[in-house]
Amino acid sequence: MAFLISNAPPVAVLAGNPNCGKTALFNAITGSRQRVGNWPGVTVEKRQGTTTLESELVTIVDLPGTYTLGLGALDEKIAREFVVNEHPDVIINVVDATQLERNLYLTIQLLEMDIPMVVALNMFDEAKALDLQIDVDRLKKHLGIPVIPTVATKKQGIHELLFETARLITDAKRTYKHVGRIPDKNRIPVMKYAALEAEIGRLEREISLKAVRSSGSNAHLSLPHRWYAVKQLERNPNTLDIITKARYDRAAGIADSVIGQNLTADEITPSQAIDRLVLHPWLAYPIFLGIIWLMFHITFTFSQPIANSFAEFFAFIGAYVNNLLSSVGTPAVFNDFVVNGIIAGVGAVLEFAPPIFLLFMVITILEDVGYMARAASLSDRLMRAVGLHGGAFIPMILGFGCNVTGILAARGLDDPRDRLISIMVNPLISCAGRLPVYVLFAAAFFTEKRGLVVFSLYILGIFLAALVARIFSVLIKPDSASIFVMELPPYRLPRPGAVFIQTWERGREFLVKAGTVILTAVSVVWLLANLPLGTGPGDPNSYIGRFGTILAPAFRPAGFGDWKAVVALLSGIVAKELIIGTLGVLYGAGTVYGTAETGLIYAIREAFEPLSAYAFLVMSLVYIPCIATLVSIKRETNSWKWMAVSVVYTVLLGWILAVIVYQVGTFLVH
Amino acid sequence: MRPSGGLIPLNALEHRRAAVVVTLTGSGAARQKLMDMGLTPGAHIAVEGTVPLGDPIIVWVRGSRLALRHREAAGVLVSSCPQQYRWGYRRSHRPKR
Ligand SMILES: Nc1nc2c(ncn2[C@@H]2O[C@H](COP(=O)(O)OP(=O)(O)O)[C@@H](O)[C@H]2O)c(=O)[nH]1
Repeated sequence: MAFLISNAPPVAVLAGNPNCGKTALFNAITGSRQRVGNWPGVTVEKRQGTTTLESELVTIVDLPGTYTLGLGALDEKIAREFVVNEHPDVIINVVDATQLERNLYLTIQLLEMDIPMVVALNMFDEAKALDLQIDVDRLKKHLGIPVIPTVATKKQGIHELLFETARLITDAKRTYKHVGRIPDKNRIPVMKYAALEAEIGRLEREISLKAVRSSGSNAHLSLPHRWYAVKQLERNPNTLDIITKARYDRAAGIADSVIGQNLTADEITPSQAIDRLVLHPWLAYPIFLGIIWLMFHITFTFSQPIANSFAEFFAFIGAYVNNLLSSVGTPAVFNDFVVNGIIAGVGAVLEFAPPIFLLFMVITILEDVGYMARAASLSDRLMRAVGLHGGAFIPMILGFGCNVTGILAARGLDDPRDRLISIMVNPLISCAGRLPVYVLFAAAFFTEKRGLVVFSLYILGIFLAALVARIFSVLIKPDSASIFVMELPPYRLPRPGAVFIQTWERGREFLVKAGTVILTAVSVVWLLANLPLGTGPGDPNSYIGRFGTILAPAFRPAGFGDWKAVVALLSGIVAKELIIGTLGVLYGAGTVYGTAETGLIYAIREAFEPLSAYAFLVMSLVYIPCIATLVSIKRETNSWKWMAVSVVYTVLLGWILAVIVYQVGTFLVH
Repeated sequence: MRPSGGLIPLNALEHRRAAVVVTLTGSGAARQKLMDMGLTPGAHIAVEGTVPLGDPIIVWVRGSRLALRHREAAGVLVSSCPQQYRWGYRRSHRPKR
């Protein structure tokens, strides 16, 4: 009871199955007063917001959607631990009225925790359309708590729901004032486990005794002792079986008694009809590819003009500020730092904004519609070969556009291990930023076979991603059953308002958090390239140049032990496209790619031979992902460790492959 | 609906044939996950079909559709009923009192 002790606002949590309309309800309750974040230490999205109930501020926390509060998957653990440790003041249990049986399984588990609770009987419109004739009063009686029919998407029933929530909070407060603590309610337990009751009773007494002995009060056990007793039995597989079955049977029994109509259609349901097409033996994959293509198209092509105009805008601002500062007479180094460090850095961040927002929009729509589960089922066969799960496919595909978007798309994966592996191997997929590098070198050295060379690098990337995924999937033990069981939710039309809110919140959160780091990193690299004073990006005496000179010998076995090539790779860490710009500067062939391209081609022909050029390309493909990608890895795994792992393994792998290419190639030629 | 057939693995069940889950052969977290998704002994179940390439299969249980792999479905032993399964939402299928 957080608010009874401190002055913090009361906390209400939303709990429910996936696809029960929890997000829609959350939006309906909090409106725009919400934030997307992460649960501490993990990568699962956490949404939190506030609303005002009877002029009192209430915090609303959206728990991850789960089918159960068991000991298994991460989502379940988060949901369970939040309720146990934070002891929210009210639980709003969102129940999909069209899926009573399955949803009540969770409801029963929540009821066992004996926290003030109200059921939002959501999708009530759909239940009506299906003519299920749900007897709400009877459901109320069965559960012993208020049940409010809601239609989250039309904001129906929200008022009543909040009214009940406020009432439960006031009640708790009043009892607390009177009695000084929340009394043990000693309600009749919702669940009786026939054969296990004796054992539960014994454990319960044991737990009570221990609690009294250890602290003199039972204050540290926030839930009823019966709950801990049942939890203990859940640790034993045999009793867990009995408990699970008993709960599901109870859920089925309740569903049975409150549903008036025995709706057994002989015809297929509308979603089945759509799936006849979406999962059609011949059409499924063309449709799948079409949707992926569309996703690409929207994310990268539509965003291009916007991104370009941002780039132009920042170039303009840069030039303007440069003029301004020159006229004021500040030192040239300072001007350069402001223009090429800070302003270019902000520009680099904002250039990411359009594709990221569009990607989040597409993902939100596909999730909302229900296609994600189908896409995962369709690609499961393929992904299983590398030890992953069907859902890992879309992040891989998006990686071809940009690894940042690919890594973000891994949010769609439920299993934390699958998600981690997808994030870790994504940088091996050739993003669009590497293409200019490939094209330049291919044009310089492999004139007639250039298409083949570029293609081979793409294939190499895919192959390495599959290989490394396989290795990670062996190394990282599954912490839960990594089996593929996925609900295929009914198809639903997306709602523009909800898509907008979610896209905005996800995108905003990413840009704010990642943006600050990208900006810092860009500034640091600028400083390294321009310090000590008097040096510049092309100067071996600049810090980055000295660093490159030290590292250069390590790349001699790969055929490009020239400090300039190494410095180009170093600056490529900021963004892979910069490899070309840097080579341009270093070989004095003009700074910008495109204008002095021919000059640059000439220059690199001098500096490389075909074999070392190919080794260099392999290195460019594999080594350290760009800063934005690294930052995303850090953000999405919530761990510096995994970011470090990705730096180390990609450098090693890239180096080894480059050396192999060069050495084996040299050997074959001679 | 009363099961009449012998025990067969779920992935070998004729499409659309109504059946009842009898037992799960697996163990540990995988077994629990299946049970949490509603595949408990006594649950009514049917296979709707497969996705292209034949795996995973699509299963109806407790009023919703699940995709699950052959490998996992093989561990769910069911007994088939004489009649066909009727799609869509339905009350639980236990015999009427
Ligand atoms: N008809 C109807 N659709 C709803 C209702 N609530 C949510 N939805 C839709 O159900 C889908 C899943 O909802 P969402 O809020 O994303 O579910 P979550 O997975 O529980 O967060 C979305 O397409 C919503 O538009 C409702 O009360 N009635």
